[in-house]
Amino acid sequence: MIATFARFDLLSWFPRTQTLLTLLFVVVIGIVLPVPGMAIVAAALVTSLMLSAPFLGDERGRLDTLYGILPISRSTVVFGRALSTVVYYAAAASLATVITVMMAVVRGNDIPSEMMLIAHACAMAVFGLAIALQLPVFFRVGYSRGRFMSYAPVLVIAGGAWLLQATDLHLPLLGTMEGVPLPLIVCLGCGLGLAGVLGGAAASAVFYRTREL
Amino acid sequence: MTTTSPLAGIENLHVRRAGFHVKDLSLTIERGSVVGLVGPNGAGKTTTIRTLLGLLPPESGHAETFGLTAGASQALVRTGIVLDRPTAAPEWKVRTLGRRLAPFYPEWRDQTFEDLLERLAVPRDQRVGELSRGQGVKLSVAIALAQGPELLILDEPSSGLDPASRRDIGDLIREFMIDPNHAVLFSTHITTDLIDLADELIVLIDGVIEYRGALLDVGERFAMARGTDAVPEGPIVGLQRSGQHWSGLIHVSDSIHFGPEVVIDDASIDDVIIHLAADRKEVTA
Repeated sequence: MIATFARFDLLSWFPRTQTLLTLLFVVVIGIVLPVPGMAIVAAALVTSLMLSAPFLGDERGRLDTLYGILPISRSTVVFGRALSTVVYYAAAASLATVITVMMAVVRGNDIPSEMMLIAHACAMAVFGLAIALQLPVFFRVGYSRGRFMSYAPVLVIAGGAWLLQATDLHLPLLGTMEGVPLPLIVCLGCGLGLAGVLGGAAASAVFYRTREL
Repeated sequence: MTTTSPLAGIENLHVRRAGFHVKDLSLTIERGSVVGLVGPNGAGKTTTIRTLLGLLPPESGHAETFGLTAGASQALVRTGIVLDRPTAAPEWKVRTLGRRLAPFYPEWRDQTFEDLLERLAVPRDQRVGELSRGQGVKLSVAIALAQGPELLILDEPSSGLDPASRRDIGDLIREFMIDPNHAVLFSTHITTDLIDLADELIVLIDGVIEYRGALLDVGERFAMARGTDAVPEGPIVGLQRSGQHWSGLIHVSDSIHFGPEVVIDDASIDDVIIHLAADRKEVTA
């Protein structure tokens, strides 16, 4: 039933113009910015901003009430929604990968496979962070009261970067990162992403269980 | 096969909402019965229904359908639900709704959905947000019946419907009730919709059941007493005055307390609700 609900959910919010425009934005980033991998990271950031969109749709169409009267459990709704956002992220990241490869070919550069792997690892971690921070809030209080959370992942990342720079810790950190083998970075990024998705969904299920619909 | 267990039940329910409190409410919905739930605005009808559907957690007490805790998936799959507005995104097309919802209901019948849209004149190519309120209710009824439910719960479905459409909905409920295993809980403000339809009437006022009994018994249990000038002695429920005139609800068995100067008429369901809800109850002059 989780997959059934995810399909239902995607049919509700994926075909919207706003959603498709955000995917177009990822393409534009891949074309305009010459730094390889930027589109892949942009895909994660755009996804983090898009996570609120289905909750906005829920409020506009009273879909929370619909989910409440559908013969599915509330945790199915939560995990189905998490799955639909994973599908959106996968679409955005795939598009970004294709654009990155295409632009490397167009610019006559080598395909930056190592850089792309690192970018995907970072993007996965950002996506996981976004899910972990936003999903529980949206499921607990809905879009109207929780919309400020749309910017939380970006603020956390920007705030963390600023803090590292302000405390001069960024250089030693970058130095340490240079020595980390690529497979470990990829595993770390994917692990953080997966933990964020599962942890965020599990916390959301707890919060959503007792919410008035 | 007919079984005797009730399809739905509420026991000692307490739910507190902004402005009112459903207090110690208990009811059952038996197979083969149509239960009308009536009461003034804010009486707790919608709260009771939403609790029965598991949309609102009760403060205390218990609500169940098909022997399962309210909101259980296995119970909801056998329950057709019509709320006051359709629960669908405004941009969804009517004709796509069946395809979207069918995967959740093993008993979903596409042909029934299409036939009901046709019969109720719901335009298939319009978006849900473009439908009138009445069309939206009809769409909800079509969705609820296409699921192949055993229990139908309707929350104010007749608001915003013209008389012909209300009759259509009533006819659909009668057809649904041909199966003796089915049951209906019908909350409404338009009490005439319940005549010739409901078997049982529940009058809910300020979160409390003030009357529960067979609909046909209303006329045998209650009457309206009317008069002018002084209110005579005798138990009157919800006495109301307008200038020299007064009126009140009485129990038919109490009519012997009133003299010939008091006019005693049949009481309608509206009379019962209005007078039971009146602030001044059980006035004995």
